[in-house]
Amino acid sequence: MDHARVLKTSAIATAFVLSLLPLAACGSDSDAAGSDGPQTLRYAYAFTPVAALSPYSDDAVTSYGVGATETLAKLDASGSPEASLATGWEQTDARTWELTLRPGVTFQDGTAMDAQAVAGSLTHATEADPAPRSLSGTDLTVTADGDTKVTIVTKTADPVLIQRLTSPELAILSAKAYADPASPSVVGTGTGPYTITQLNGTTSADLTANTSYWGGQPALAGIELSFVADGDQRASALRAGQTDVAQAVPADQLEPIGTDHVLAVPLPRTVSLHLTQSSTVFSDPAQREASRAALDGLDLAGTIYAGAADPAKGLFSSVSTWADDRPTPDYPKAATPQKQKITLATFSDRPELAEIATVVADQWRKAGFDVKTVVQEYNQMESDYLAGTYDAVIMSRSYGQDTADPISYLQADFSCDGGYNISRFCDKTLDADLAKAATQTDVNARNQAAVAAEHVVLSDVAVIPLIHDRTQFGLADGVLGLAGDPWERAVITAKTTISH
Amino acid sequence: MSRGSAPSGLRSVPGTFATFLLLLVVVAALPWLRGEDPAQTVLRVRFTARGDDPAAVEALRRELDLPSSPISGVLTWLSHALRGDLGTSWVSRRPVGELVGPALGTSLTLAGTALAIAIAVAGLLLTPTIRRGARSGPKPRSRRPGLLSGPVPAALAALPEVVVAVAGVLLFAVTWRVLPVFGWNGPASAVLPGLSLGLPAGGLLARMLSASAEQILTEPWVRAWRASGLDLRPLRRAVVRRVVAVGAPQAVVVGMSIVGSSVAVEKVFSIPGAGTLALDAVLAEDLPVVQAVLAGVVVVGLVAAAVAAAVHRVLAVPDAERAAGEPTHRGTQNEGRRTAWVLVLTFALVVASVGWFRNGTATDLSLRLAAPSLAHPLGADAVGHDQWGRLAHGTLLTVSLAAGITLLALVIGALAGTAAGLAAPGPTPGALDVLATVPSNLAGLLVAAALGPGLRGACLAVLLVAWIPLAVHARTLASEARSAGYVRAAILTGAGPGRLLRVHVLPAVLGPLLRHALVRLPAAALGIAGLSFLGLGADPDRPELGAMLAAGVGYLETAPWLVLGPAGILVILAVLTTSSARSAQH
Repeated sequence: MDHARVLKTSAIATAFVLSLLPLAACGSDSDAAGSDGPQTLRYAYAFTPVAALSPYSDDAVTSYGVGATETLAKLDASGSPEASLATGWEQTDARTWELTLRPGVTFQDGTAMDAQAVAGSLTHATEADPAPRSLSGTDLTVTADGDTKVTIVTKTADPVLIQRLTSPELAILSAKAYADPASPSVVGTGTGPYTITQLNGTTSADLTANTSYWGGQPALAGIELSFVADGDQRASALRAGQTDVAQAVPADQLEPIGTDHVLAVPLPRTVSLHLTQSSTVFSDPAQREASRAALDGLDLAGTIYAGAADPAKGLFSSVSTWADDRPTPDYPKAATPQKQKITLATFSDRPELAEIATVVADQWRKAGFDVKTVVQEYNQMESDYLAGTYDAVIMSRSYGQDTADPISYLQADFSCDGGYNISRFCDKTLDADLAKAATQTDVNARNQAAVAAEHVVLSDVAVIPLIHDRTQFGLADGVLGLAGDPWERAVITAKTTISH
Repeated sequence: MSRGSAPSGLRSVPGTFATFLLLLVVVAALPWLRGEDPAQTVLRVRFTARGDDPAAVEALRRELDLPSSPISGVLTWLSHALRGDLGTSWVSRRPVGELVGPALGTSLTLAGTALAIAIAVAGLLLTPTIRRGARSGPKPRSRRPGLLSGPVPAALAALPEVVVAVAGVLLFAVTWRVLPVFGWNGPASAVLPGLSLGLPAGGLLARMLSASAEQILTEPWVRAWRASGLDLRPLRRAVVRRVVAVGAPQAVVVGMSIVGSSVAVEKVFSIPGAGTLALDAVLAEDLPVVQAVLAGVVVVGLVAAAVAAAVHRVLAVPDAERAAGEPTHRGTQNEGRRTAWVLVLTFALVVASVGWFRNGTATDLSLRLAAPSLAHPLGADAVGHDQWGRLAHGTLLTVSLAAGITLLALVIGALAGTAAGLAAPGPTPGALDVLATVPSNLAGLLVAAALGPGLRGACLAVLLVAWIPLAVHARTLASEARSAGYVRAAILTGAGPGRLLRVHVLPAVLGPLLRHALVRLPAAALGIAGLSFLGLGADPDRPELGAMLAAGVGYLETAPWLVLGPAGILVILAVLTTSSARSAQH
């Protein structure tokens, strides 16, 4: 009787599991039906919220990307600011900017976006402690000037203030959002074409079309946003017909998806090998040059990235067309590699980087260096990167993160007291040049200064650019009108459509 | 007799609480161990690549109200927690209860599903053994030992969960389109994660219990019953009861390891479970969340352990009391099967030694993901390493480390478990059950914080977790042995504690425990692998089976040889060790 019971129990359990299979089949294809009228778009998004979508965190890009929030200005493809919630701006003196607001804009909660609301929203951002990254180190006052204008006064001259205002961290939200001023809520408080109606923990969020959107009726009925951290799973979901847009598809999944279902966007993001100048071996320019020469001829973009990246020409990618005519670096003379142990570090969050580290380490060993590699999660390593613990670091760095201003990026990464100086590079002349460029209002002059500074750090082999990254969106049949924003901000707009 | 009487139950309470408190303090000491300011870490999680920003760190430090020492931090936290206030997350600023409650619920559902599947799998695999054993004794010489009680469970137990998960997604979601790829809504989304965790766990459970079942089937009362020619059905029922009694505490350990340690599977399916929450919180030094998850997992684990202990008590005692006389361990050996394994082993050794002379460290990007060919018979990986050479070097490294860890875990587990089993008759939940709930990744991160990342730290972390299931098993076996009639008879006839231990208890504990330990050997290898994947184990360019597996799983579809090699070696290793354990025991 008992073995029969064991059998029966097992059989029941197995039957239970098997009986779920058809059940599952019903669930997954439910919204393939219905071809007329606006559709709901399913979007598999790579980054899980860290702070419940608070704009004062990296989550800011999430709500901006799905069209829930908007900023006063936005970046065009070349990185210059253009009108968004503000229709124009004027610099009345070195420290004062006057912005004209777009008329007829209402928040998703029905209140009007007037000058009071905008000034209030920005003032909350300036008062946030810690300050949002785009406002770090600034001091500004925002006041309403009538109903349609706001005035921003900065403590010191800030030529890139408008670029700053394009940061999704400075999204304009209704007064209702600031119940907790340190962590504003973006649920139903933005101005964009899609309203976040619910955030389900770190799993998903639901959005519906904002019918009173100032830019016209949104083309979709809504968005089902799922947070899927695993890149291979996002690609699998697309192939299984369970999502319409898969963000950041890994290179090895492009072939199974098919190139006609991929939207590739070149980014202002460069993977570089930083040689730490405080290192015993790499403090010597001749050693740095020997290490650089050992990597000449590696086709990382064509192999490890399977052609889904571009070989690096410098720190600035093809997005920055102004850097195309850069001069060739003047490298120092190479010496025979020293037989002292060097540590090469990178992080595991992007799987390609560990593969690059393995290849670089092997090339260096063949050239005569003694190399050890360390790969951990980024969050575990950042303080060691900045402290110069490792001799060399492979880093994936976007220079378009906050202001999209090349001078701010160079100052953070290559000036003596820069906040993100992994190379531990220090050159007083370069510091002075960058400080001078930072005061320039003319965009062209700033870009030329950036090219000159890039020439200095490349010629010194402080950093070896490896590849320029792209982001790949996997698209289901019939998805059209994605923003294709090289600044990794806008993704879904009022014009994005899907026809099943 | 007064089993599980008040005194022994009470005695374990202070010990349990002290262990729990100690764990909390160790976890709370994380920022001090790592020597890094939590404000800096939290800032980094909120804003990546922000770099040095002393003003922002200072502002955050004011906001977070950081404790001045781990102990004062834990005491403040506990006093608030007892009043129902778990605090707010340092990273997301959401109430900790809102984060931890749903995550624990999700993990419990997932672990329950996986455990149900594991028990079903184990039941299916054990049925023939029990059925035949009750009829004619365990595996008589004339019969081949059942595949289902030896190699199959061992192979299942060695399957890496992530490989099952990814393969399941490719088959059931992408190819047949019947199951969801990700998410956590409705029973359908529990099937693939449940199978990924349940199949290996079922193999493990079956392997451990088949050892117990065979032991029980050799006991004199079973032989007497069989010889008497009475109806066999009550006998089978009694054997199943005993197997369930031994299995219940083990099932709890398996279930708890799923609650806290299934991070990889949770990540693959985007399941917002406790494992991921704990890992992310530890990485971010988000102490309020870490402490609450740990407390939640410990409470759940203690409740589950108490239920298992009750099951054990209700089912085991009457039968154990029925037992009388000296058990005899029967030799069971099968020459044919042994020859087969000698052949497999010889083949593996030849393959490995040839591979040893191949270069497994030179990269060649032109060979990226090259399929098996004459020049590279096992193919090449994503950076063009020769897979054969890499496998040979990796096998040696991983197997020797795993074997060392397993041996140490066996010794510690046998000593601690036997002592616990003899001290408190009947497995009362105690310090061991608190420790059994510690997620393995958490142990890894703590050790890495103290020692720095590296293989040494990874081995220590795996050992810290690996001895606990063995100790729990040893405790169950020891208390069973102690309550057996022949042992109590020996006590009555004046046998001293030393003789009791040497002659009666240890032999009953060591046999099944040795087999259990050997079944877990691949798990130790996978444990190192899991930590390597987090960057806390071997250097990424060093050949190590687990790291190879972790790097290869993303290419399961385009370059399956990257997974088949290391996974195959782990399965062969598991099957070999269990069959050699069988020989060793007899």
